[in-house]
Amino acid sequence: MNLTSSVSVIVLIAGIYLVIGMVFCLVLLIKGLGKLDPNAESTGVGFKILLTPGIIAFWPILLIKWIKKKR
Amino acid sequence: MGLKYQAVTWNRHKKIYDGVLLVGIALYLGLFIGLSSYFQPEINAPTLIIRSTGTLALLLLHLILVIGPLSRLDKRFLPILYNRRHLGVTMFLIALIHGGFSILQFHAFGDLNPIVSVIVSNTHYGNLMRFPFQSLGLLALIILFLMAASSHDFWLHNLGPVVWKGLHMMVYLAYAVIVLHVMLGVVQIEHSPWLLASLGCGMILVISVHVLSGVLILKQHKLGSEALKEGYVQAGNIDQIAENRAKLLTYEDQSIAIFKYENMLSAVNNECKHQHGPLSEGKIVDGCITCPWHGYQYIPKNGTSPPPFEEKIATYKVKLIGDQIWVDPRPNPPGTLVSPCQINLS
Ligand code: HEM
Ligand code: FES
Repeated sequence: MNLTSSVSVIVLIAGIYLVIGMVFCLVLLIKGLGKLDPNAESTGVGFKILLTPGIIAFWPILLIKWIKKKR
Repeated sequence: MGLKYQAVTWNRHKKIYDGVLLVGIALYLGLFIGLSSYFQPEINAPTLIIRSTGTLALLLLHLILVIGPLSRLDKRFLPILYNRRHLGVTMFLIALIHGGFSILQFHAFGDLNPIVSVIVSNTHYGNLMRFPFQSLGLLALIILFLMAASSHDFWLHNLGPVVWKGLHMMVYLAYAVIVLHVMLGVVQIEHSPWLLASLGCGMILVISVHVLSGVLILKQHKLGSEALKEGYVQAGNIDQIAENRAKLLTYEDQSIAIFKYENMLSAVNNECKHQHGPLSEGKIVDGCITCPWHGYQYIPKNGTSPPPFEEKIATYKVKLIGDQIWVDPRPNPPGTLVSPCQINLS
């Protein structure tokens, strides 16, 4: 594979990762952040907006945490 | 903290801080764009935006990097250290405008995905002088994004302190990558000796304040058990501490901050519960020890945060013999009440 196609694949994978992150972010914000962290229960809109980029970037860590909490 | 998160916990200091920051940014951009269009009228608007925001982000990054060591060397820099978080997020947003406009200007209208184009439009990865400096910019921007996105305390708690700290130490990696980005960019595109010279001065400044404050920490000699007399270690003269300030005592593995206030002395552990900020470099505000980093507060006599907060740090017994301070270096359990040592003015 040449450079352009390898880079394209990597960028595509990164894009898919971020799209999953966006879906996860929506679900998490609707279901309530309080499930993850009691201090984040029913917090303001500003706080949620501030958190959005991080949730999209770090979603696997939060997902693992969420699954562990459910058990 | 045992308290609901807020977007920003505003106070007067933070509002003034952000106000000054915004005015400074507006001044810089105004001056840069004004002077450039006067002296180099051939430069087009997108290039002006790219250059002004790029250099501004670089300047802010230097400020962010030097302010920690500087306030260790001289306490008068502490007000800038406090709320450095907003400085960091602002710097990222400005770098994002720079990167965004660069991508728009150079990569948005080809057949390739613009991000792919940033990485592959120059393929001289094996050649130092012709190295694709824009890929370095992209890498730095991703690191800065991860840091800005995780700057809220929510992330400290939910990523865990180790991951969080590691992520934020990457600012040094980002700095190195940006230095290369700028140097190569100047060599390949612009040839501005001024920018190169300022960057050189900036690097010397960043390195020297880090070395100096490192030396200062090494020179703080730690006391060992030979310093112990009847269970107490001597912590110097009462006059060495200014009102509402502290003195640091290090004994074996204990770092102890001794505060003087309202004719009393209290000693607490030096480490803030938030991100291990050095409490001895802070001062007493409204009767509470206030961390210089982000303003967590503790009541001096019991090391407990005022309600509704619930943080607790260890306290220590203090006594005065003449004008000499003595501290029992065994920590009490966090939150233990220790009656402050009264200073008898004679
Ligand atoms: C996606 C990320 C980035 C891209 C595509 C990018 C692209 C560029 C380009 C094309 C130039 C040359 C502009 C010119 O002189 O005409 C440049 C210069 C520069 N970049 Fe970046 N950059 C990125 C990220 C960053 C970051 C994160 C910083 C950090 C603070 C930064 C700081 C600078 C500076 C200081 C210059 C020199 C400005 C000047 O030429 O006067 N860049 N960048
Ligand atoms: S370290 Fe953040 S307030 Fe002390």
